[in-house]
Amino acid sequence: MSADALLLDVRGASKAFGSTTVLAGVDLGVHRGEFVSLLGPSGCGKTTLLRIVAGLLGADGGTVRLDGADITGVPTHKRGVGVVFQSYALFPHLSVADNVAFGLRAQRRPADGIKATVARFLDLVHLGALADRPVRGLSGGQQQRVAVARALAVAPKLLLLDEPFSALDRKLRETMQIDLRHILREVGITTVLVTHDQEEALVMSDRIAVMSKGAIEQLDTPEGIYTRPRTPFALGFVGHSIRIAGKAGQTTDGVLTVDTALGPLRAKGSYLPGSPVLLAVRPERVVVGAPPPDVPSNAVTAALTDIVFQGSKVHLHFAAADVTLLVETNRIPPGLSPGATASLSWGLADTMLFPGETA
Amino acid sequence: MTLTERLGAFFVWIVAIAAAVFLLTPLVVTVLVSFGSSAVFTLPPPSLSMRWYQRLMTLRGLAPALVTSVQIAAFATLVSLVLGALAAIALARTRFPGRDGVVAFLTSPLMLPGLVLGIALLQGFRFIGLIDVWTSLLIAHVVITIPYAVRTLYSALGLFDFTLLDAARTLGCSPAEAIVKVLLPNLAPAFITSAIFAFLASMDNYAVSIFFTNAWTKTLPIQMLTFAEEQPDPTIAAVSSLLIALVLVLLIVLERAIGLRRITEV
Repeated sequence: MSADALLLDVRGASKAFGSTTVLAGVDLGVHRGEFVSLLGPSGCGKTTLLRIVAGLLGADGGTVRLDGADITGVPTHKRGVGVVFQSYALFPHLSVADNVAFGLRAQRRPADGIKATVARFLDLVHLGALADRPVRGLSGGQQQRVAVARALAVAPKLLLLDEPFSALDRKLRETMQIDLRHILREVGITTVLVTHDQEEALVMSDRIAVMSKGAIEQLDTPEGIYTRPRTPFALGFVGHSIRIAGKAGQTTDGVLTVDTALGPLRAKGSYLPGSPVLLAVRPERVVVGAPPPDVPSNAVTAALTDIVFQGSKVHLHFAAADVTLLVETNRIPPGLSPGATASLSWGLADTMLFPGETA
Repeated sequence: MTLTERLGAFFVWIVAIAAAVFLLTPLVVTVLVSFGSSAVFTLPPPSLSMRWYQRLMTLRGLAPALVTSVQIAAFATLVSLVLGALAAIALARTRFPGRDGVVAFLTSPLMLPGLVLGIALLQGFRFIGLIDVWTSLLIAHVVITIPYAVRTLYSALGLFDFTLLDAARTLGCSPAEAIVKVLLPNLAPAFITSAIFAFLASMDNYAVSIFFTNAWTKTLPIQMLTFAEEQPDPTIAAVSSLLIALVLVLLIVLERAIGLRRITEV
C-alpha cells in the first residue's frame, strides 16, 4: 500500500503521565474512507491516542499527519478532526438545530448556507422533526445522533468516535451501530472508533487495531484478527478460544509436536525443543467425535461438564486435566449429557500456535 | 399523618413564621416610619406623608455618597467576577497541594469580622503607601466581594462538564472562543447570582469602608450614619426604604431570569 493513500498517519506516538507510560511509540495508518477501530481494555491507551489525533492532548513524541500535512503542532480547532464524545457533550443551553449549527457558526460560514446544512444533517440522522427541541429532553440514542450530526456538519476530514455506544442499552446499541455505519458510509468519511467492546468493533470496522499496554498488538480486518490472531492477547480479547499450554517437541515437515497435559498435539510452526508454547483453537472449529481420517487433526478426550443452550448455538463445556475446553455447536449432540466422556477433534489448520509464558 | 408528624409540622411552621416576623419587622417598621409625618420615630405614624422623600432631594452629601457607593460596588463586582472566575476555574480543574487552603483563604473575608479586615487592609495600604481613597475603597471592596464570586462559581464549575469545551474546540472554536461561547452561557446563572450578592455586599458594607473614607469621599452607609448622628429624622428611613426597594427589584429580576430556586442551590 502506498503511503500517500493514508489519510491519517500516526508515527511513533508516545505519551507518559508521570512515570506511567500510556503510549509507547504507536504507529497507525488509516486509509481514506476507511473505518478503523481501536479496540482494547481500559488503560490500554486507545483514548489517549484518540485525544492526541484530535489535538486535545499533546504527545510526548511522534508525529501526526492528516491528508498529507503534518498536524502535530496544529491546535484542535484548526485540524478538521470531528469528535463524537462518550458523553456526547451536547451544549445544554442550545437547541438541537443550534447544536448542529454551532461549528458552522464558529467557522463563520454564511448564514443562509448554515440553515440548509443543518437541515441536511438533521435529516441524515432522522432528527429533522426535533430541530427546535432543547437537547436536555432527548433520549440517549437521539443525543448520540445529534452529536454525530454536529460533528459531521462542519465536514471534517476525519471523524473520531469515543465509545459512542457505551451509554446506550444493549438492544438499541446494535441497531444504532448498523445505522451509524450506514450514515458514515453515505457521507464517505474516514472514521476511527475507540471501543472496549469487541462485538462493536467487529460489526463496524474495516480494520481493527487491538491495543494493549500502550501498543497496537495487531492491525487487521475483523476476520483476520479472529482467524489469525498474532498474539495471545489478540486471541483472548476477540472471541472465545480453547487454550492449551505445553512444551515444544520435535518439528517434522513444518509441523511441531507439543507436549501438553492432554497428550501430544500438533501445530504448524517451529520452536526450539523445550520452549514453552501456547496452543489455541476457536470453539466452533472443534467437532465432537473422531476426526475425519483424511484430514490432519488433533484429538483429545475430555469430560462434558456443562451444556449451555444459547438459542442459535450451544456451548459445550469440557474439562480434561485442568484445561477447560469450550466447544460451540448448533445443536445439542444426541446422547451426550454432563459427566459423559467424549472425543474432541479439530483440524491441524485450525490449530494456532503462540509463544508461551516462561513459567 | 401520625400525631408526631403533625406536631412536627406544626412546630416547623411556628418556627418559620417566628423567624419571618423577626427578620421582617425592622424592615416593615422602617418603611412605615419613612411614610409617616412625624419628625421622630413614632409608631403608628400620626399621618401619612411624603415629606422625608422630598427632603432626600435637598439633602447635601446624599447624591455623591450614592454615586460613590454604586461606582465602587459596580467596579468591585466586576473585578471580583473576573478574578473569582479565573480562580474558580483553576481550583475546579487542577489538583495541587493546598488547594482546599486556597478555597478557604479566598472565602475567608466572609468569616472575618469587618473591623479586623478593615484594620488589616488599612495597615497594608499604609505600608505600601496607598493613600488614594477611591482606590483603597475599591481594593477593600474587591476583598469583601470576592468570596461570593469564588464560592458560587466554584460550585457551579464543579457541575460543569469540561468535555463541552473540548467539543467546542473540535468544532472550530479557539480555547478563548470556547469559553465565551460555551462556558459563559452555561454559567450565566452563577455569574448573575454572584454579581448580585457581591454588589449588595459592597453597597451594604460599613465596617470595612469606615477605615478608608474621609470627609469628601463617603459611601452611602457611612453618609447615612453621619445623617443619623447629625439629624436623627426619618430621612434615613426613607433612604433605607429605597434600598429595600432596590433589593426587592433585584430579587424579582433574578426570579424572572433564572428562578430563586437555582440561586439558593448554588
